Amino acid sequence: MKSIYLFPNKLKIPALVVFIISLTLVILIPFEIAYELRVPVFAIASDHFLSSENSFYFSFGKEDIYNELVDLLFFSSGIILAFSKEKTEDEMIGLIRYKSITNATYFTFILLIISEFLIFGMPFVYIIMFFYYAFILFLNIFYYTKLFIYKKQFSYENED
Amino acid sequence: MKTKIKVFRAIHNITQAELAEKLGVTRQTINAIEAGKYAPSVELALRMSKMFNVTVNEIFQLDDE
Repeated sequence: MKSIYLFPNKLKIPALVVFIISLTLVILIPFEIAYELRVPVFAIASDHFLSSENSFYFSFGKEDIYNELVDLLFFSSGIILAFSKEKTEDEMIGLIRYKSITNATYFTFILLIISEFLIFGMPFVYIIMFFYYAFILFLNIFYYTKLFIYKKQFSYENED
Repeated sequence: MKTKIKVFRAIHNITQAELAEKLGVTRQTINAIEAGKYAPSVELALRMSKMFNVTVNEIFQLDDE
């Protein structure tokens, strides 16, 4: 039976290393601990609200791409970490992965809906920024926690 | 769902690990199936029945049977 594409198992450790590094960099960005990487880029739209920087549309201009590079590393490593094969990939691990995606979706959107009603104004913008990264983070936390419990729970042969 | 995998394993004198390796699944999955915590796919059930040389119905039964 044809199954969905999963990344090779050998990518798991490099993805974990990149994910931890990029997660640290993502956490540091709000504290303004970041490099400036100003390079010429093509942009469909570049409009900095309340800033002296020039806006441009469908053209080349200079932009700081540090955040974009950190996001690229965070999302690609997070996706590879969650969707790479285990050493022995079987249907039960597939089911654990499927349950983790479902739980991460429910959890993220329940938190988002609660935030909609409890947080207003500027703080809500920061919350939206948190949810931008939250799904991949929750997906990996749910998946590896469930995998750990599954391996622990069924690691010994039943004697009954 | 009730299962007799343990009985057939004993008849064929193979461990969970050996059965898992032959079926290409983890030992934990075989353990979960034996404990009744996980219902295998039709494909895995058929491969198991072929391995033990019995029908699927002889290995797996519904709880009310």
